[in-house]
Amino acid sequence: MGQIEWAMWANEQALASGLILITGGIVATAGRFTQWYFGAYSIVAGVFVCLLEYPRGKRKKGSTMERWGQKYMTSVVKLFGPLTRNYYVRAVLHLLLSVPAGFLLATILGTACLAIASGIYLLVSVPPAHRGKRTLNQTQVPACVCRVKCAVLSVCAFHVCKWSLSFTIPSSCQALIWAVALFSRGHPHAPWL
Amino acid sequence: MGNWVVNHWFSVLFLAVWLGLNVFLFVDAFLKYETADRYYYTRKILGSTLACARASALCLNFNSMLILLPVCRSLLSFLRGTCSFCSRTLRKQLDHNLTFHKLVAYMICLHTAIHIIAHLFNFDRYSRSRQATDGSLVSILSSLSHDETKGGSWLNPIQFRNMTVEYVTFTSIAGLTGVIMTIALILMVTSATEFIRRSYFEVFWYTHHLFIFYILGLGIHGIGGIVRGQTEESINEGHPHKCAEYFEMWDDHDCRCRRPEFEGQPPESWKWILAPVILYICERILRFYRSQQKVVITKVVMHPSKVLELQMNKRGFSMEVGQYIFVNCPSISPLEWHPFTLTSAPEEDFFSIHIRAAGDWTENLIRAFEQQYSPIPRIEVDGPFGTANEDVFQYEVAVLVGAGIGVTPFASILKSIWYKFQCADHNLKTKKIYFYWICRETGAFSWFNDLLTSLEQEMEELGKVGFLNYRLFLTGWDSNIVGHAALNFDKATDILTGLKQKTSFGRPMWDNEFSTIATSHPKSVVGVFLCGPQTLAKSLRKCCHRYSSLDPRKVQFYFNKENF
Repeated sequence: MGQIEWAMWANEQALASGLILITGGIVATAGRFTQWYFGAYSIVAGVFVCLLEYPRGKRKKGSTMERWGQKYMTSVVKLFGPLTRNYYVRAVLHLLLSVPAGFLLATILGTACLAIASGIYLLVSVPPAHRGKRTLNQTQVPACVCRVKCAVLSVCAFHVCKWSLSFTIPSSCQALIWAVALFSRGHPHAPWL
Repeated sequence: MGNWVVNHWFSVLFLAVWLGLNVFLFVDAFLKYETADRYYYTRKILGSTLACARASALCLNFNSMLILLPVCRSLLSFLRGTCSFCSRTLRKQLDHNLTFHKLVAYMICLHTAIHIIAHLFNFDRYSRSRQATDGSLVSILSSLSHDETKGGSWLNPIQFRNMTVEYVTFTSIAGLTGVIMTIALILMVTSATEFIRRSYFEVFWYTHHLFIFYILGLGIHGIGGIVRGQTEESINEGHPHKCAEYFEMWDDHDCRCRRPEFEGQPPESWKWILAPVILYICERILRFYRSQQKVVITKVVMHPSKVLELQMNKRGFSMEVGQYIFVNCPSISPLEWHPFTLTSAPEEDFFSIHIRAAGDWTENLIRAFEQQYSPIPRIEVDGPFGTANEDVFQYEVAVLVGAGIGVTPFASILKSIWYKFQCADHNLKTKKIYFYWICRETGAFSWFNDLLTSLEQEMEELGKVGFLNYRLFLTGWDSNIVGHAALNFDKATDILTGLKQKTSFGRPMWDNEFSTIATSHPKSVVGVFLCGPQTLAKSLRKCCHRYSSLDPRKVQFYFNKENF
């Protein structure tokens, strides 16, 4: 079991979640359900997740089957460098993206699936030395701190959503990037922002 | 095109019947809910999405019943065995069990999507009609009492105005089981993609056991009786066609129409899935029982290129050529069962498997057996299960193609031929065998070499040199090897393998091979058996179609692929 690259499954799960988000969003928007604007958000988030997760990452061992046509997306995704390469950032990003969709029944399935994918990515990104151990290493961040960071980030995400609903989108984006950078500072895989 | 039809007519028929049943069930249920008087008032609130949801629910029941059947391996092996008088075509269908399982799974996903979308609309409409205060028909219907003492004749499951649809979803049995089932289904599907299955089998195997939640959820999904229709007595008292327009006067004493009463439908999913679940439980109990039988390891051989051979004995074990077993090693992983083809012949008094290091589990197993000073690990065995190779002696001419480790089922067949010759079994239908082994490197040859060498001698002694025609192809060659071969061209035996038949380099040219076989056997039925990669299967299948003549009396090629 030690050689299983769980991130590959997380990638499949996230791709499926993106599609489910898009479907739920279309249903909610087309049917003009109550609070249907969450459906519109869900479509956008779903498309973004699909585009991000479409290029399949290279396996550590063995040959990787590329998805059809993935080379076009790979060049775009690679532009963002460590932001997209790092699984911890992906885990956090997916968790944040999934939260607003949870307010609408039509998209809550997408939320659950994306949250599961985020959970798997998080499991992959926690350094193996700390799974089950409580020793602190000076250069590495312990798993419990990662969990606290995630919790704080979820709260932050909620507030960001509330702000974005009043259409101050640019400031909420800035706040999001600020939050990710701030709370990852000190982590070995921190994005250099 | 004609050849494709000849080879696949049964599959096409089977799939057409299955699709036809799906369409029929969907349309039938849709019309029933769209036109029935029972649901007249329900349709007033919900519209056509009620019928949509119920129709897809019926298809889901049907497909959930079918999905467990193709994975009952013992049942399928039993059917293969009892069907020996059946035609080849019928038995070949049992090889495609996994393909059918996947098709049914896709249909379940499609109907799940339709069902969920329809119910989303239903919940939204129920919610809106509960919020409505304009005294319209829908608002009156929605306000029907939930009070159990008065018979609970409510229609709208949303009881109070401030109840959100999310609350109803997560507090009703139908909603909660629906969410759990759908998440289990999605996790099963994402971990069962080709890439994950081939690269990380354990992820697929463990996650797929979430089907237990799916089946349990399906069984209790309908208990709440959320889909309501008018009761018989209520219809008799006041038929909806007459009473619906007088809804404002339902509460007046002098009106002939009274408030309609509703009741929920009893759950019916369990009726569909009960039999397959029982069959599957029996299958798992049988597998467990068979695995508990003691397995004695009589010989362990380490071959070059990290190939481990295990020769074993088990009471009551009997096999046919080309069958496979599932092996479990509790000391390595208590829950993992991995399939391996049997490489011994039925005539031998032991059964053997050859295991190559190809992942976590196999590497751990080989390492455990390599330990000289620790006791041999305990092995559990389940099987044997049959695949297409059982049919190899039913064909007059057999073409066997093994790529790399895919040669293992053919080891069993060739050994069996050797024993049959020794016993002078003249009941063999097979008159000629063409064997092609395609391999990347020479190291993996060694354990098979001995077998081929003894077969060569055997054929010479019996004077039947023409019976087995084999060719070996080395695809991972380089100029050194070719140079050596060219230098030693005149030698009687091959420098790499020591066999009389010279090794060829590169891949076989299938068109040449097939046309040679077709001209040498113009009136025979030729069975082509492959154990190897999909690309090779495609080219062989194409050749089979191309070289089979349309006249059924002339040469016919039938293609069989072994798949796990």
